[in-house]
Amino acid sequence: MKMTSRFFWALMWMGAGVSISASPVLTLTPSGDVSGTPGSTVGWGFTITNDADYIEITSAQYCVNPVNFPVVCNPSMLGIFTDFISQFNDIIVGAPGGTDPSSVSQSFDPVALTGIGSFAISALDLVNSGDTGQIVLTYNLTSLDPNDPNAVSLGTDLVLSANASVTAGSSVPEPGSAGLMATALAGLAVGRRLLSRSIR
Amino acid sequence: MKQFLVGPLLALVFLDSALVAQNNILKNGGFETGLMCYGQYENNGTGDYQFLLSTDAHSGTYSAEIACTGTNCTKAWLISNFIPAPASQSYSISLYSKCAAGAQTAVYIPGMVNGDVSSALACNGAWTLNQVSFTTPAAAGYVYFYIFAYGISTVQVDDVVLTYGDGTVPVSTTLHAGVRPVSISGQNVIVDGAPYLALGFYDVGYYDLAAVAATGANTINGFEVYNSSDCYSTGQKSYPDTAFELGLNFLPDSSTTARTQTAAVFPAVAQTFAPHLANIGWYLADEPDFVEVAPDYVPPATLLAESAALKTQTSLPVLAVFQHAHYTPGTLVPPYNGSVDVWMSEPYGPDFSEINFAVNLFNSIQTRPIWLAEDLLADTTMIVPKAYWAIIAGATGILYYDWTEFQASPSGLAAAEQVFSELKGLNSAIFGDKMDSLVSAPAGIASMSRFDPATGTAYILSANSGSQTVQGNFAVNGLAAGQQIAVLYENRTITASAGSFSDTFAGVSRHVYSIQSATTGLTATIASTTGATNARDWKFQVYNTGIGPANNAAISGLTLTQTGGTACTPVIGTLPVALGNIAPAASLLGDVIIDFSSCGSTAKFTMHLTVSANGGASSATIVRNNLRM
Repeated sequence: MKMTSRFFWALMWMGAGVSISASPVLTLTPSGDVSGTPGSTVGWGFTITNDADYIEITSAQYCVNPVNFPVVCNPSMLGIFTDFISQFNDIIVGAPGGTDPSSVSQSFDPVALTGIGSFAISALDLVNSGDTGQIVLTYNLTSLDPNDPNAVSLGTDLVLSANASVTAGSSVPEPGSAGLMATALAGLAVGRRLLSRSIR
Repeated sequence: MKQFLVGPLLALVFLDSALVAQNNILKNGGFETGLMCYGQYENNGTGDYQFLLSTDAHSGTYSAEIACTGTNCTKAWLISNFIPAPASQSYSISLYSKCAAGAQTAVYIPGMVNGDVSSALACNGAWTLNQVSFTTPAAAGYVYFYIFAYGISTVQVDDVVLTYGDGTVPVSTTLHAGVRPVSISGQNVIVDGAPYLALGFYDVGYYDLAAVAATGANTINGFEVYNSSDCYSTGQKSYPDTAFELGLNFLPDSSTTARTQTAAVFPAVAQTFAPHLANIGWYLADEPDFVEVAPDYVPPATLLAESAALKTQTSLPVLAVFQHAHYTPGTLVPPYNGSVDVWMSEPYGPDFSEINFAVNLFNSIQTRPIWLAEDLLADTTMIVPKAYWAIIAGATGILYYDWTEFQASPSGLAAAEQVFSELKGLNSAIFGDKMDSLVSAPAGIASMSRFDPATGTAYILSANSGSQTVQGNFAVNGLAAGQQIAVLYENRTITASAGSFSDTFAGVSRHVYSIQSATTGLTATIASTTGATNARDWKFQVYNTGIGPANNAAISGLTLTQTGGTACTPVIGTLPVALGNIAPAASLLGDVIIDFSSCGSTAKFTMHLTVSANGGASSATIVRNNLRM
């Protein structure tokens, strides 16, 4: 029976006693803590660095605490998370000195659909409510770039996570109305000073 | 080795030996099974006495020896176990003593019809026969005797024979001889084929067996004064036969024998006392690590040797309480690893954290079943919560020390009965499927979560060890809003919010939550992708993520949508893939075979995997992108 190259290399890796050794790190940018007003959309950018082998992101979720993926991963009740990183992108992070970058970064952009993903805060949310949890990514691990015909699967559905939170903040006054309010307060202060002088 | 005399005494010695073997209420009068059936005490618990087995015997291999090994020696004594005795019955006790001239020793029998009976034993440097007669009072009770040694001396005794006053011995027949099926599986003791939750007392007298059974207890530890094993032939139904018929399981105790540090005697001990259907374990030693009390201390190597010798003749699990297991530094216990099959500790008092210290210490040494000795707390309202705290920590046995103390405390006894009743009622929950990963208790609250597949019920046992009131939320994965949660033993229910419920702990207390007919959730991960391109095995791990059952779970659908690479058509194998029933927080593996032979290495796919259970009432779709074959 002819052995496929993938199968052959898999046996070679197992025979060599190779274990999963990659320790990728996920950093959410600019912060894991995002906030927005009810009805707005927020999201996370990322930097993923890797130290060995090749990882390819296959899913992203925002799970509220407590998190024990995959058994415990509950969605936020504040809104809806949408996976950008695996649904609209194919992020491969290699080993240092390999055929792919060992560090990949993307900022969150809801138009370009980059970053970890978006979170659409429900319009019905009360202000100053929020939750904490984790961004949980799954990835597959291969010995080479996964497009390489000699790449060997070293692991599937491995987990990469980072702490995250969503806050539905209070509405910030519009610039126009804020200016009017400042003028009104200033006028009130001047009025009080004049009133004070006249009483003396 | 048997000591034979010559000449005219030969016939007398043979006759005497026959009496010892066959005509004696005591089953260990000659100390050939160590100090089984005897307790040992000295001064006020401290001193320089040692209780030993001497090969300088009047007959047989061993005699009992009380030796002063230093200068702190006021008095020490052996005390027989408590022998059930009829009213107004005359008895005769004879024994051989050997001690240097001038040494002081005595036999003492308290509470007889004319008061306490005491008689000095002969000390002349040679084995000398002593004999004392006495009669029990007008009410049935116990007969027991002391053998005292006073001062800086060494006293040996042998061939203690107790008979009725006319020299006869009532005949006892063992009704339930045999070997109980007992084994160890992980951290559980398996008795009669099922995980065993040991609940009971230390040190129960013969006449109290029925009262102990009435408390709901199921286990008795023979350590201390009343009855360490099947020690007597009294004409009445024997202690172990009586216990067995009352549904009480027994742990024979060999603490005093272990302290003689004579491993060679243990095969005989096991042969004599282990085979009985009441016996479910062997209490090898009490506090062998108690190095501060010299007569109680058994060095690790010695205890290991004694345990090994015992096990040459019995398959019963071996237990011992370790005094230093529940407080720092805990370094005295690890060297004893291997001497017991069931760890025991005695974290007495109101500080519940000592339970966790002991459990963590034991588990760090080697995972074995853990049973605890517990005491009569001054505040008896803490007894029930503390028992729950122990079970939540991982103990599967609680034995209260001791029966006499609890019997004298109405509130303490009521608390113990409540513990037995509630925990026995929760047996299937305690030994159910673990689902701790699905439940988070409020800060400061200990909890364990289990699923009973027989009833489809999820249980959460919880306890507060502090005096402060704790109010908080239990986060329960998959808990549906509106789900009714029964609070057992409190006649109340709680209505759940989505994913949680809240409750209040008023000081030291326990709550038990029961959730029936809960819905459940499913998820899955890709465990591996292996095999040839034309028969690639995608192995999925399917999880039950809720607190209800996932019956007849299956991988019911799988689609692959190509998102990259040269167009191809993978052929997905047979679906659905049946998995079986999955308990909460558990998982099962299932394989889907896919033929990727038409695909190149750059082909990638988005997968939609559908898993279902409970006739389709529970289902989930799992999505992964950028998958390669």
